[in-house]
Amino acid sequence: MSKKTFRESINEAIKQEMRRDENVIVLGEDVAGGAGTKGDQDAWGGPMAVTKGLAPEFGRERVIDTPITESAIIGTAAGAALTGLRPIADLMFVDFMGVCFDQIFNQAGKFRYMFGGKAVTPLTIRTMYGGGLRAASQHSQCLYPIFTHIPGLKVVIPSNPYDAKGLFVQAVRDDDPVVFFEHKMMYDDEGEVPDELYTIPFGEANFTREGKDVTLISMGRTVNLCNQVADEIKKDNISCSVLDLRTLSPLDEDSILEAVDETGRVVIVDESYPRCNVATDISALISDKAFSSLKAPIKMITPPHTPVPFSPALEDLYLPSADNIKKTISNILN
Amino acid sequence: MPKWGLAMKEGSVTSWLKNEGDKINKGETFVEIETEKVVNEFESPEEGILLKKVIENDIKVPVGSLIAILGNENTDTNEIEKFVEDFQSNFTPPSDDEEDSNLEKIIQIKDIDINYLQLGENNSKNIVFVHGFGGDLNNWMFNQEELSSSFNTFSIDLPGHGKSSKNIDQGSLEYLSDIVNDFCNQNNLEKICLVGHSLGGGICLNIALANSELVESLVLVSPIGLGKEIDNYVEEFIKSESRRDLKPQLEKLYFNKELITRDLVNEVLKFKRLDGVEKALQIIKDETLIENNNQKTFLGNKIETLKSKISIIWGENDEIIPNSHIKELPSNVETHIFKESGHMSHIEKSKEVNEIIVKSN
Amino acid sequence: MQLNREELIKAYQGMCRIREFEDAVHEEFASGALPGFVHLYAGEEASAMGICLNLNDQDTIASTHRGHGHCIAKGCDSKGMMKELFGKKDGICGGKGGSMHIADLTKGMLGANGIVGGGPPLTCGAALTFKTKKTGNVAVCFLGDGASNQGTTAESINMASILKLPAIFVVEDNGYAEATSSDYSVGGNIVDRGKAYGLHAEKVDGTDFFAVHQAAKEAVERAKNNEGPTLLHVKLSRVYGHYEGDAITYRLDEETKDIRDNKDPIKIFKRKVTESGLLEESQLEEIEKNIKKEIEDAVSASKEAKYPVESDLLTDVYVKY
Repeated sequence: MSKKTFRESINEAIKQEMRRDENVIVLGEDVAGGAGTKGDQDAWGGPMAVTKGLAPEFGRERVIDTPITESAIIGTAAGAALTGLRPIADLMFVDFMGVCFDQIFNQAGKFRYMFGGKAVTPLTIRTMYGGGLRAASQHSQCLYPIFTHIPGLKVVIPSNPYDAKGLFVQAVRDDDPVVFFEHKMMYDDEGEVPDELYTIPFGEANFTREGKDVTLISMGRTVNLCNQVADEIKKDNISCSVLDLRTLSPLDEDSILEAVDETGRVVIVDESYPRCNVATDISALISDKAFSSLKAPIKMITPPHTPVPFSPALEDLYLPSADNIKKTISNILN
Repeated sequence: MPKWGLAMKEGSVTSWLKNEGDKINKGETFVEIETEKVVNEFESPEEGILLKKVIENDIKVPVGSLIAILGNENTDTNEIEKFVEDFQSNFTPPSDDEEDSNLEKIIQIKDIDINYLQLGENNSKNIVFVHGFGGDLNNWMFNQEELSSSFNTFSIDLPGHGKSSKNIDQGSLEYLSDIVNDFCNQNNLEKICLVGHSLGGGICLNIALANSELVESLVLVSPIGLGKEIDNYVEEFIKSESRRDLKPQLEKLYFNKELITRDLVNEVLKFKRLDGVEKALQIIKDETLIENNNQKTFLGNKIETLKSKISIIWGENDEIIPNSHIKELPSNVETHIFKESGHMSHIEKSKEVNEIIVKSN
Repeated sequence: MQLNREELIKAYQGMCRIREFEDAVHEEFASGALPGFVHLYAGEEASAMGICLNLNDQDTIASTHRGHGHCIAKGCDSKGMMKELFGKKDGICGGKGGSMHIADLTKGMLGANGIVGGGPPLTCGAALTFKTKKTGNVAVCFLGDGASNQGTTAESINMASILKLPAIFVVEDNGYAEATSSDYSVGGNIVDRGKAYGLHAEKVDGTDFFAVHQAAKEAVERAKNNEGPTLLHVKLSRVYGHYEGDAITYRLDEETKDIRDNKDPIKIFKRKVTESGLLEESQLEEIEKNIKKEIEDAVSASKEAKYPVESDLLTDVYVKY
């Protein structure tokens, strides 16, 4: 057990799984970096250095730098998964899904069903999401609702280093296609993480705070924001539980309903675009299955229906904030 | 806020058992505290009137924080307020104690890592604590630190458990006993008091039967090996993969089911999900614990030959191994049955258990 | 011609099986018995058989929406396939894929694909698996002239080239992508495109089984010798429309007649083997008779077979959820 960053936790998960299973390979743009150049042959390790150190240990046959050709990268990974490898494909920014989404949702996601249960597609796609880096509209989106929408895919979204390593190991070992969402602002977050390999099952949400007045439900980076809010409003005598979804597909419906049962008041904090997002999906679930437990309308904290702005002044207004969560909690309590 | 076990960094008050103005006797429990690992009642170290409950329920505060004021009946309210203010403005929570976490050490025994904690090394009399199935050395958090003021105490993590090696290929009683025995030898321990719980109790008894030189006295809490009945807890514990499945199993361990919080269940799940743990637990179950739904190990008929002093403790409400196993033991065994205690008397009746350990030395 | 009798017989059986299958589907579809979309391969048989006779069950093929021919050539069961087209539970995909997703992984058939250009990236994947695991196998991609323009195709050919994958890209150019001619839609030419990415590329007469077989043989050897991927531009013709229901108004009647009379690979094969004495007319007629019966049985078995039920709706999405 030692303190590791979010980045280190994922790196360790990949490294240890690659040592354990020779069928695991990594491919993507600059997952090592320097291919064909005269300089450093492990120049990047991915744009955020998550895959650094892998090429030197495992060689370029298992850590493959590709051209900038998303559909070929993801499609190759899908075909390789279908035929016996366990590829980890890097879709560098989820915003790039447009040029390869077919390979994800029409190919990999549907092989098993279309082929009558005979295909096994143990594909893992790692991708970065989220705003806060001032990376502007085409490099700051969340888009996880779009993947959650597709039957045949699994969607995983850790909020801390311990969960990141366990969920990632689970993703690699899982025999279905998994899209693993990493918030680009979290790579330096620290936490206690076991040095050994371990797993966390999909479909199990985690209560990161216990409380009885209101429940905050969230996923990924915004879980940490909810934890912060829950800790801060204790002084106002408000006891707030926080539910970290951990995986959007499969979704832990039981824990959501358990939470609603305990407090009767729900605020869902979702950084993705407001139309048809995870917050709306969960609201419908709660409204359908736990209506009688509700003491107040279900509230959602999301950005407005606009692309992600560039200017820091605007982006800070755009993203969910502690203040607007607190205001909303206050409203539904009164 | 007390410190229970080295790992504890913070805790919260879950309920007050006394009101402001009530008299509290020394040793009386007056507040229930929850940490990441456990919920338990806190005994007052002094006698006095509960003058002020300083913190709100369910708020996590660091170890060492002020949680309540006990004092004389007619203490001035202003004095109390001032004390609280002064304390809190001067209070710095203990830093991430690097030193403390380094107190746990790893030792190589039979090519595997065994993690252990030694407290009280200046004392001469040795006690070795051996936990039960699915547990770890933190199970002794209410016993080890307390007893370390007068004893040289060691608690170990069994193979497959805690921070010891998980990749084990055997789990027989002999193997586990050898490990604990070797541990004692490597630490040059003589004439020790072995304290064991459940599976650990069986291991301790087994060692004492083979090695009376080493073991001067034994204190066993709900040990295996004294009868054939055992709940399907072991099987279900291994099988449980979710919070929902595991919680009712863990609840079986205690008389007071409220001790099992979501956090505690999570901690156990984190352990179970480490690579190798399931296999290790399975091997120990198959080679030592269970055969055809009954206990596989039986040591009861050898007890009368035991040279070491022996005390056996049972909770009246033990749902895992029935307390009937403590009846019909030979006369050389000192027996204690506690009311309102389940399978974990060393936790639910820690004060009483500690007294028995002291008395048997 | 370097094939022995057994291989020649297999070739003829395969081509007849494809033609019989497609003709039967054409009839059944017209009668209203078949649901959904079907895209028929009749007229292109030499390509599928010429390529696939060089492959074993561990080699893979990726296919197009016009996949029945590839499927049969790769050794998939015609009865199971027919049942699949009828949407029956014991179809080769449990009735869940249908014509456009017909597959049999045990035979290395990675599925027909409803997305134009869906196959090439997957082929790179299969080839990467073979290369990584050093199995010595080959991954073939069948794609059409339409798909040859897709971005996925360009990316995949490039990927196969730079990673030196054991892959073969077979562009079956039947002159039409849906209702648009390939003369119009393909800029430059397909062989040049392959060469531009560093592949060995050549044009092949898709009506001549032997030409296809030879080109494929060399491509497979090239792949196995680590000499990299090959692109074959196979010119052929489809007898029917893009899909069943297509009025084919974009193609003149005389062209369709020409295809049937002069560009039929089965007729051309039959003439070649009988004229050179490799096989007898009577043998070939025997084969034709047996295949006709086989397909008739497949159709009647399919009509008898049961549909999947409500509980089948939810299965086979995930290995474990």
